Amino acid sequence: MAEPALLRARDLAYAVSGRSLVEGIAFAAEPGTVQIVVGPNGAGKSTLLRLLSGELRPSRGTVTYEGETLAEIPPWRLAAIRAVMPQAVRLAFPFTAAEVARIGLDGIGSGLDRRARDAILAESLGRADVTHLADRAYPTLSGGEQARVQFARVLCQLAAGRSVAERQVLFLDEPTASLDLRHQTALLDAAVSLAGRGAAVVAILHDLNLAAAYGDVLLVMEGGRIVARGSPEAVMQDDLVARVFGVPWRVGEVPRSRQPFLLPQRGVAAKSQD
Amino acid sequence: MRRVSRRRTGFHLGGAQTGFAIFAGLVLLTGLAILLSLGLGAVRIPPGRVLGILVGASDDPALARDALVILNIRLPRTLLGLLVGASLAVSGALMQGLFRNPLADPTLVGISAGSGLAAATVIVLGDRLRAAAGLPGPMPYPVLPVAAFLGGLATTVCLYRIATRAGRTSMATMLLAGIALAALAGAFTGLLVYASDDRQLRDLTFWSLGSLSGATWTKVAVTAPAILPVLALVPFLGRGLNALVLGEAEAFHLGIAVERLKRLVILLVAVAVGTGVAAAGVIGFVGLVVPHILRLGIGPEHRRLLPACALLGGALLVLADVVARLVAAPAELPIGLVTALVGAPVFLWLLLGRPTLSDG
Repeated sequence: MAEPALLRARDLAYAVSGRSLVEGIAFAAEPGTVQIVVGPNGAGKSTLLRLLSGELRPSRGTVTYEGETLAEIPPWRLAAIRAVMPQAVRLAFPFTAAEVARIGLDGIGSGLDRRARDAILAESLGRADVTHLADRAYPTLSGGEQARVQFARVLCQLAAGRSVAERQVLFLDEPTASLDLRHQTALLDAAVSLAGRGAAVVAILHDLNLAAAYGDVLLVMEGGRIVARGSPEAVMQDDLVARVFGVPWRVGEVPRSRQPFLLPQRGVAAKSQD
Repeated sequence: MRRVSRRRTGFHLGGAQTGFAIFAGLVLLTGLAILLSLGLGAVRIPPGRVLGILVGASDDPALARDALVILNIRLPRTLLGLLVGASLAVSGALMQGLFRNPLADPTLVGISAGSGLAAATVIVLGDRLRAAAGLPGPMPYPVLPVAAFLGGLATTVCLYRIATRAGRTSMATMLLAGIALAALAGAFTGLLVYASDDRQLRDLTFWSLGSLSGATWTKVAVTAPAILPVLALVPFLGRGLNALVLGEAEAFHLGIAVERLKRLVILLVAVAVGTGVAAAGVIGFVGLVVPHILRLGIGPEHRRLLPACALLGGALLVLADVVARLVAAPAELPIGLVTALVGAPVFLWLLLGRPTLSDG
């Protein structure tokens, strides 16, 4: 019998006070894949992520990890299976960057000895390029530096969780929003290498070019539904970009690699959306 | 005041030595506070003799009077001060962690005010109610603290109910509702003050500003079983509160059962504050200042912060009580006056010296 999918959702829907935010979602994530969710504001991307990570209970349908219903897995076990990098996190207290990252090790890494935990912390700080910020108070860091510290925290959590759960899922909610170009690619490279070690990665990105560069599969969401999915080359087409994102730009193609890209283009008349 | 950043180094990857030094300092400070509290007062007893009496080497009849003073009056008073001070500071730190707000404090969210209102009701209306019910004699002693305890608990339950929808408790709603409840309880207490006679007014003032002067072994015996379990549970809350600092969703992602943690913390605070107010009245500022000072000293990590709060809160309240006894001897000041008179300027000084630490 084939192993059940690492993460699977069937006929997923979520509604708040009668208003449907997400509907009719079918989704599966396998180890080693990077799936990127794109779509305009309010398309339901974050809601989908929160449903898949167990933070929200679906109004209809179920999410399963390796065949087990998500709602029945206690939080402490979920924490070893999946990690979530949220959008901007602000702190009211002056924790240092290293202390924030170390929170990812607490509890989850309780089976590890102190030296193993220190090694994970040092490695995660290095991979997120925040080693030099380790002793700085988190609230005094810039938005981008804070995001990298959160990424280090997520890396800590996954590394600690790996001692319990082999097959893991990493969720990233607009992880690159406040990062400079070098750190955008560094973060996504790190996510890809985690996928290479057997994790499933699900990320929300606004930048279609990054999505095309890093996604094995792109999921395009609009109005709470997935309206297209497939390889970047298959999904990024002029008509889809115009219909979903409301911009009339032509999709270009990097020579040789055939990676699609989209540049803002001035002076192109916007088509009416009907 | 550029020392901030330098002080921070050393905690990276576990600054065990600095942490240990500060804890040793806090233990020493607590010991010193205890010795001062046992030795100073209407009768001065030198530290050597205090220690002698404590270890039971006091067969000397010349010391009998000192032994009486220490064992029957000052020791219960000191122990009560340690317990109440620890519970105030720890409650403050717990509330601040729970609300993710360095300004939260049991006085701010109305728990103390609820306790205070219940106590004021007993003081002002108690005798009349007893007369109306046809009960003879004055109010028995335990009614007042029990009412204060129940008042704090009832306020907390109200707050929790208001802020909880569909199994989720909104901390923002709870904070706002707490401020409203505090105002309401304050207004009713004001009405009672208006309706009270001279003797009741004195009692009310003492109650609302706090005092350890009524400390007895009985009070210690009633207070300790409520506060000690709270203090014993506190080390297990550190990890959850650390995760909660990142946000409720983030704490859940990190494996914390968030709603259960919130309920537990709220319950512990209600018990600690209700018991503290019942034993010593409403004492302000300790819950706000002690965690703040310690965050400057040892950082905000809750597994270090909470035990340190218990030590420093206890030590400072005992010292404040020594001041309250000595300044206007043979009369006594309410201890809440001392904590505010000393605490507020210290707090302001800290804020002036370290401008950027607590806002994002």
